Amino acid sequence: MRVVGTGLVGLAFGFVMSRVGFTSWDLVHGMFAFTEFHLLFTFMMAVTVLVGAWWGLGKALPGRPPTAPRGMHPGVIVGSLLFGAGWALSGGCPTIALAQVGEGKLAALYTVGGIVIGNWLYSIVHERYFKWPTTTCLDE
Amino acid sequence: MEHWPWYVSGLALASIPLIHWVGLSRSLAVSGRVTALVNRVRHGRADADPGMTGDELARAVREATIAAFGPAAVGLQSEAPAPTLAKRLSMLNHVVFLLAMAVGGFVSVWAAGGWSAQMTLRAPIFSEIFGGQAWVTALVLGGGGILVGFGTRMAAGCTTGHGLCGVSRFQKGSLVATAMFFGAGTLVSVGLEFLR
Repeated sequence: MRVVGTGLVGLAFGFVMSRVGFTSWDLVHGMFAFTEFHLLFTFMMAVTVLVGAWWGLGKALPGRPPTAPRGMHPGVIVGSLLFGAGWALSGGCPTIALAQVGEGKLAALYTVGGIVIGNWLYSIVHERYFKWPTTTCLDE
Repeated sequence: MEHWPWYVSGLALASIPLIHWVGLSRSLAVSGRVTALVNRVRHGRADADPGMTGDELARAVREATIAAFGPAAVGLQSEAPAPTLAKRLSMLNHVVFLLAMAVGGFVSVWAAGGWSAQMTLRAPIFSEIFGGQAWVTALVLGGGGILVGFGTRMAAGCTTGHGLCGVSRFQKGSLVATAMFFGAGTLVSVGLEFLR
């Protein structure tokens, strides 16, 4: 049953990303270059709603598992810079790329392949050179 | 396909991490699921990644020592609580979630009338900047994808975990991460504007 629920949330996520316009390379480009404000406003609206919602949920459901802090480590800065550059080039964060493939924009298969390869490469680099923790949102 | 206006879009986008958190008791994660899958393929076992850092393990051990022998055994008053390891999600769960996002994109376009597949991104500005050659598209998207995969794992989060969920909870790491990836994206995109 849990898998069914997970699938439904994933489906809704892909659908919303498509309808919102995040799967459009041109709109993402416009967001970063500040030539188009639709996605910027969308994102700010979503964050604002979430600020209120987390607060409300924390009051309403005090027994729920707390969400762990997402602290600083050296990888945050360098990793995010690389991620931003890659997103501006490919137009895809992981969610976007997968939704694009579903939309029939099959060139996004290159993006998906790149994401898997990049993730894999970092796991090797990390084991050799770095020591900071690599917990993800799933570990919360 | 018409996009929703920004205020509807923002509400819809915010609803996803909320439903995920309320329904599945977890923060919404996308790059984290990719990481879990890659670990599984690399190591063959879901739990090969220790899941706890050395510091966390030390704290957990100390916490257990206190529980068994009292605070005097470690000579300290209580400090930060020991982390408990969340139950790991199955690989099936990750695969279903990632594939379902693609299905969501399909349903969106199909319901709007007319799904079709091309080996492009159907993006006029992209074509204007990079031209229509297939190998250029493959290079830009594949190369960009590698940066995205490498960077999100290094930063331990992507747009979802840092940008949406972390920023809205005022997490320091996420605020920095979002400023960094947005800044880098702006630099690259403004640069690309000169190629148009």
